[in-house]
Amino acid sequence: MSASAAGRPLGSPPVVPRSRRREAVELPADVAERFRAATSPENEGESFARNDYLVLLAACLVVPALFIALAWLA
Amino acid sequence: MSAPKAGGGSDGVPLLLSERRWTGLDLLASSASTSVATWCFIIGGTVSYYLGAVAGSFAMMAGVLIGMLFIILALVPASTKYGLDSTSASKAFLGTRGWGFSAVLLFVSLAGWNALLLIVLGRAADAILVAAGVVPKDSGAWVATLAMLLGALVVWSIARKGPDAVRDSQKWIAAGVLLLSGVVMALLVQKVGVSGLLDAKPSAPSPDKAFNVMTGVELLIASAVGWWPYVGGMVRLVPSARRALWPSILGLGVPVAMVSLIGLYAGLVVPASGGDPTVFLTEVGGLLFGVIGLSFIILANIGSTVVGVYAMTVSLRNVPAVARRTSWNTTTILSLLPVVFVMVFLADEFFENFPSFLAMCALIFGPICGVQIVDYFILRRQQLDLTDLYGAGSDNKYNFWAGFNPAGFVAIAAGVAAYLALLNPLTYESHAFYSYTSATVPSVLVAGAVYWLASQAVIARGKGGYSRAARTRARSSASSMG
Repeated sequence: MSASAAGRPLGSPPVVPRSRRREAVELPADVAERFRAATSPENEGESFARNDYLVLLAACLVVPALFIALAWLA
Repeated sequence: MSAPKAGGGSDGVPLLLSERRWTGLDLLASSASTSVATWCFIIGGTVSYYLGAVAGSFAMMAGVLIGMLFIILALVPASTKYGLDSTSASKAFLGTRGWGFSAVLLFVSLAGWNALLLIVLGRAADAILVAAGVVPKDSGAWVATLAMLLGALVVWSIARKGPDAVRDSQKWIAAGVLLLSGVVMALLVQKVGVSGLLDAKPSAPSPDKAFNVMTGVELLIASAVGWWPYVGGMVRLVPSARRALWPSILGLGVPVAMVSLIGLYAGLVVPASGGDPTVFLTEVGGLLFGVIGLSFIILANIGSTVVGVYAMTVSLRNVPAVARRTSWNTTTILSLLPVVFVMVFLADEFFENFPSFLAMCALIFGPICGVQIVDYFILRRQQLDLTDLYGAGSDNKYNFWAGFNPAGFVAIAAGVAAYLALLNPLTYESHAFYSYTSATVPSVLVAGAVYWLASQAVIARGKGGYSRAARTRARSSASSMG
């Protein structure tokens, strides 16, 4: 019986390094497909427009400042 | 790209756009029903120590709106764009292991809110039995403790059945609490009149008017910022930040402020209650109304606690080791254990120190908001890599160093230090500046500024995926996968 250069008996299964073995684990096809779809740019939702930030700042910064002033005066 | 890892987010895989079908109205209803619970009365009652009806109303509305500003900026744009819940989103600034910190905070804060609900439940049961003459008034704490334990048992028996048992109960509870608030308001006006309400004095104000006003503001900022763990999970189901904006403000901010205002007014009319409905309901409405109202509180608090325990169970099961080794049923028991511990051994201490619990929420979630806002808007220019957020492996850009981003933790610590320099959350002793700045607002700003500075060192070492090239790669890798 001969042996390979790595000292492994011929015909035995190849030794895969631990880290590569981990990478070789594949996801179930449906999970992989779902993951591909979920991480595509088409899956991104709509962001705020500039006006939305202005509305947010008015509602949550200017109005509270006014309310604090009124609380002071009360 | 690294391989996705099961259990990384709430289900290990990001949501598809087609699954994020909530309308603004759905978000409004869900936010309102989650936020409105009997804890709102206690929050308002706490403000009644410091402010009268008019000043308190303005201060509370201001506080809740400021808190919503931080929460919305921190979570709504990223969660609606990528479908991320709060803890998954935190991987971008805490790291692929560091995000466990936010998961622990979520668990602890939910345990606190749930403990409060069950403590109020126990007190309500005690008050009913005393009113009915079943037990003497000085029977000790055992009646309330027994009621709390029975309540916890009922909560567990519902929560162990999973999400279907939880889904719709909260809407009815919110509607009931709003109805109860309306009736209490009418009874308060009937009892003392509008002028009596307006003239009622706070029970323990500071001589410093600025301190009183700012404390009213601060308490409501704290309660709004304390929603950080919940908000991402809700808004991620809306596929548009624009559609989520007003429902977030109107659903989370306004109902909390409204019901808290009733707690404020009740605390002013019945100062001994401190906004505790188990004390003021009988006093304001008489024996029959008191018993009906208290019975409702018992049911409502069971429902609200079921939702809270469900959320705690989900967060626990986000930890892969927990999900692998325990069943859903066992995880619900694990979720209830800290709640039961607090209500059996620390019920009175926890209830009396509720303002400190609120301050603790702001102490930690305020800086997290500051860090998250700077990370998403300034450093990452609103670009996250979803593949790496849900992935594992050494090439993951959110790995930083061994899965932790030191800049995030240093910045949060700086924000906490800024808060503590201005306000002691246990004693409410404050620095002179606190009366003009609050404690949470500076802590958010300090955390954000420190995060930006510390991140320059992270960026210089090529970590975190902040470079323009890395952002471009994030986009192209997602495209090639599709």
